[in-house]
This record gives sequence, structure tokens and C-alpha cells, in this order.
Amino acid sequence: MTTVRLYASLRELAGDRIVEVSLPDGATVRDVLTALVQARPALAGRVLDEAGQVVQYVGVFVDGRDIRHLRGLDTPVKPENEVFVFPPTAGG
Amino acid sequence: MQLGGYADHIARIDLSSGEIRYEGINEEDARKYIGGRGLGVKYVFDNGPQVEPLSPDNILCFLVGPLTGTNVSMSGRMAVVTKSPLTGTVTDSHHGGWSGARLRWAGFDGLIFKGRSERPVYAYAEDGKVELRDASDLWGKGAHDTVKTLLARHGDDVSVVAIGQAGENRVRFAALLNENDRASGRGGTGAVAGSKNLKALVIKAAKRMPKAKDRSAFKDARKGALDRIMESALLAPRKGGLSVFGTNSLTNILNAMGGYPTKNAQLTSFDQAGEISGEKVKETILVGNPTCHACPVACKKEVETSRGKFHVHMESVEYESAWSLGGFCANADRDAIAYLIDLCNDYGMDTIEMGTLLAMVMEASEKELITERVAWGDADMMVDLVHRIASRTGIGDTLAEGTERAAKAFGDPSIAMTVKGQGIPAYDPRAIKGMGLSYATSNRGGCHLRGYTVASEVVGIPVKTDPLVWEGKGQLCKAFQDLAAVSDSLDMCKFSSFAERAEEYAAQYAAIVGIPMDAQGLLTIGERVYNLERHYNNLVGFREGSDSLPQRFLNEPSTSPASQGQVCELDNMLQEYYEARGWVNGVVPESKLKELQIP
Repeated sequence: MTTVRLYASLRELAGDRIVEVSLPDGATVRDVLTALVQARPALAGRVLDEAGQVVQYVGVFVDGRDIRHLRGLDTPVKPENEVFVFPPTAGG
Repeated sequence: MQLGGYADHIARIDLSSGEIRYEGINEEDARKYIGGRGLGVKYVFDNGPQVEPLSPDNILCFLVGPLTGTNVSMSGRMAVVTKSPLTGTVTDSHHGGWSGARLRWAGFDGLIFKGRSERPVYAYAEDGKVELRDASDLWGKGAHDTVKTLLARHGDDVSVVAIGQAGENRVRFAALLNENDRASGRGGTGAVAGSKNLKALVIKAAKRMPKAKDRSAFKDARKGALDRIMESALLAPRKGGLSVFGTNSLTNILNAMGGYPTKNAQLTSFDQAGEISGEKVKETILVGNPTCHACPVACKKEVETSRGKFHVHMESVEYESAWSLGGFCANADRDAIAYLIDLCNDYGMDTIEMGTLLAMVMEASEKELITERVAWGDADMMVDLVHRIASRTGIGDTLAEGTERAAKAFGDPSIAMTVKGQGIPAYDPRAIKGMGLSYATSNRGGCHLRGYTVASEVVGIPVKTDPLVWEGKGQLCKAFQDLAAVSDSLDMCKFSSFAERAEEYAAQYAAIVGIPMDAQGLLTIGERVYNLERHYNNLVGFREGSDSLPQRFLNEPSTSPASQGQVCELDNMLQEYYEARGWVNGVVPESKLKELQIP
């Protein structure tokens, strides 16, 4: 099982801060996020857009590394990895 | 002066003689430096760089910009500009709420104080006139009581900007607070006010928005900017992350990245960060979402904690303050953090510096450099020390000198997480490398707002850069610094830059002021402001080698999985940065001064 940690408004929409998704070997971040939205339909359109890309400024991390600096949605995910998903946020 | 947006009216108040003079703004200065930070730096520069910060010779400037007081979105801020008693550099510290707008409605672009009053006074400003009034009944009161008393005394349509006891006692990082509990926190501007026996400003003015020179262009420019804010995933009212969760929504993301300095930066993440995050605050103690003049975002998070020793109803728990008094001190008590922020506000002290100071004390205690036992996360001791610092009692007298001086007094300067004498903010340079460069090259000491590369390195605005890569950060840092100098000189809220670009700022500026302006023109002004500050600091003595970071960030690798093994490659970034700036080892050459027409 891969652990997905949700934050801020995504947490409120999903009703959970942690969602566990079950994936086959060789899964990618794309697979994780697709499974996440299937498990929590309220997240539809909030994580992946209609084109299947990450919504602008949504932060997706694998073990704390932003996937934009890994292989994007093709970043491999193993069961022991944690995926963090943050909605757009900033501050000072 | 023919430029629109300005009142063309500055009051110069000599607190020694009581004399008050009025003058217009030099139009060349207005065109070159705009207002707020830029104009303030020019005034401080003209006053001479060798003044002692807490002497009567230092000036304390309260300034706004040509957009302040209009209905330009997110425009309601005030700059307080002076020579800092904490760092010895020029400093500017801004606050929101309504006092900036009200200063403009009262008919002023700024108030500049010099000298020292023999007895405590407050300055009362209304309809273009300033009077000095007796403040002896207010001396000794906290900022909250002072504000309450003056609001009751002067009725409606009033703003108050005040110091608490910390400013009176010249705590080097004392702050100024206004009636909305917004702080000009950094750099010790409150200590400068206290050294002048200036307790407060009172500004009385009903709303009277200045008109744009080109009203038709202004209507379009303002709407264009507002549309971007309303559609922004970060700023949209009640939808955007900043609006719903406030700045403290950064706690979990920075922690996940291994970029959350913890235990005086001995660690780079905090295992209890979730307990003090924006999400947790919203779930448990949030009671309101205050805002500022002309701002639809409402990023403030008003809280009320549970009954008990840390019960408080206070204005806002911000990321920086939650971090400094929370994770940086290994304190996971949410209620205690809110209580400590409010206590610092009432005494009038910078919460960021307070956190870096208390974390240093905890490490000093751990290393037995001091006899006081202050355990990591001991909120009761933190409260006790805040009281002692504000009153300069016992060890508080040493601590009131700021983190760096206190660490030196304890015998180990390496435990002070400071830059140019000012405590670092809430982004670990080992994991967010551009911020390491930003801190080191900040003209006012450790600061995240001078060049907020986090927007690029964490969020992806305007482009996404890798926080763990040092290459390219020199140019990036310069770009953010120049833009921030623009927004600080217009005195726009910096968060507007999450939706607006220099193009939107330029369009609004051009319409109000009535002169052509484009994005590059504004950025050149920003570059000029940054270079004037640097030139001032060079003349004070900040020259080769002064752009540095605590050794911890250079030599002690990050401890978190996400940023494992990382250090901050500052020297490499400095080379890139100086080249981008056209500086020689941190010194502005004559050729650059000439190119930018400084001063």
C-alpha cells in the first residue's frame, strides 16, 4: 500500500489526511494520483486537470522531493514511498 | 510636484526642539525612488550613514507610496525606515491594516522624526498638520493598552502606531504595532522610536481616496490586477490557499521538504510540525479572517486558544512567528505559540528575532554556556524570558541586545543563526538554496522578504526552480530582490506578486502618477533602491565578506530524508550573484552608481 498524505483544502475535500492506495509493481505518480481521485471523488479536478496533468501550483512530492524535479508524473513510486499532495499555497 | 497619487506633503518633526516643518517631495526623488522603502532609503542616506542608530541624529521615517490610500488592491501598507540599532544597516519594516491608507487620507506622504524629546510624546496628525502631545500617561503601557487608550481618546477614523515597553527600554529588536496589531517588526524600529521618547503616532482621517491622474486608464489597470487576484489559486478570496489557511499553510510543505529549521537549525524538520500548522490552527483555534485596506484576500488568521495559562484571543498566527516560537525552539504547544506571539506584540518585539534568540538560549543552555536551564520547547520558560527581555531584567538585559550580541556574550557566536546581526527566518538554506543566498545578500540582515525565491523554488512562480540546486540562483535572487524593492516602494503587499507581475504594478502606477511606466522601468527603480541600500551599507562598513551565513548552513548537512546531506553552497551562488549585480565582492562600484544615477 502506498501512503498519500493530503494537506489544507485537499484534506478537507477528501475528508482524510491520509489515504492508502494499493498499486501494482512499477506504479508511477500518475497511477497514485489516479487511484487517489478514484478513492476520493471529491478531489476530481483538484489534483489532476482534464488533460491528466497536475493542476497548476499543486505540489506533489515523493518522500519530500517535488516530482517536477524527478520524472514528473512518470516518477516511479514503491510501496515504501510516501506521496505528499499540497494545494496551491504560499506565504511569507 | 506635478505627479499624481502623492500628497506632495512631508512633515519633518524635530523632537529636540519641538519644531515641525512641512515640505514637498523632490520630484526627481519621487521619479527615481517612488515612495515607501525607496524614498525612505533616500532620506536615510541623505541623513548620513555614520549616525548612531539610538542617538538623536538618526531619523525615523513613516512613509507611504503613491498608490497608498487608493482602491488599488492590496495597497494599504506603511514603511518605517531608519538605521537599524540591531544590524547597523539601513532597514525598512512594513505593516498592513489601515494606518498606511489613513496617513495618506490625512494628507501626508510621510512623517520624518529626528532628535529626542525631553519627555514622552506622541505625534497627532490630521488634515496635513502634526502636533506633539504629552504621552507621559502612556509611557510604561504595552502597545495594546496604548492603542486602546488613544483610540478611546480620539474617536472614530483613527489609526495608532505605537511602541510597547520594549521600545521604551530600547530592546534592539523592538517593534511598532498598530491598531490592527500589525507590526513593523524587523530591525528595531521600535527601539529608535523609544530612543526618541516617541511613544506613538495617532492619525485621524476619514476615507478620502486620492484620484488617479488618468482615471480611465486606472479603471482598466485596477480591474486587470484585481481579476488576476480573484482568479489566483493562491489568493482568491475564500478559495485560494493563502486566503483560507493563511501563511501558516507553509509549515507542512516546508517540513516535508526538509527545509524547516528546527532546534536552532540543528535539524531540518520537526516531528511535531503538524500540530502547529495552518491546517491544525484552522481545525482547532481559528475564529476569524481579518484583512487590510483594499484587500480581498484576508490572509490573517485570528485565533482564540483554550482556557488556561495560555488563553489568548489574538490577531493572527503567521508562518514565521509559528515557526520561530514553535519549531525553531522545538515547541509544539499551539496555544503557547499564540500566547507568545501576542505577548511579543504587546511588548512590541519582533517575533522572528525573539524565536531565533530563544532557540540560541536553548542551545546555550544545552551546551552549559549559561547557568539558566532552558530546555527545548519549554514554553513556560519562553514566556518568562520574554518578560525579562522586554524589561531588560537579569539575563534579559543581555538578550535584549539581540541574538548575535547575546551569543557573543555567552562565548559562542556560532550558535547565533543570524545574518548581519538579524535572526534568520523560516526557510532552511540547505534545502531552499536560493533563500540562503537571499538571506546572505539581504541589505537589512536575515530576511526572507528581500528576495522571496520560495515563490519559485517551492511554488513555481513565475517559474519552477529546483530548491536543491544552487546554479542559477544568483540571477533569480536579484530578480526577486528588485521586484520586492518595487513593491515595497509602492508599498503594495508582497503577496500581490503571487498574482500580479511588474506589468500590472506599472500599469497602475502609470495611471495614478500620470507618467509613462513599463515593467522594465519599474524594475530599474527597484534595482536602484537595492543598490542605494547596498551603497549605504558599504559606507557604514559592510563590505567584502559581509554577505555570509552561519557556519551551520555551510558545513552541517541537512538531517531530513528529503534534503539529506545537503549544505548551502553560498560561495558559488555569491559569485553568480555579484556578477548579476555588477558588484565587486559585495561592494557597489562607482560605475554602477553612475549607471543607476545614485544618489
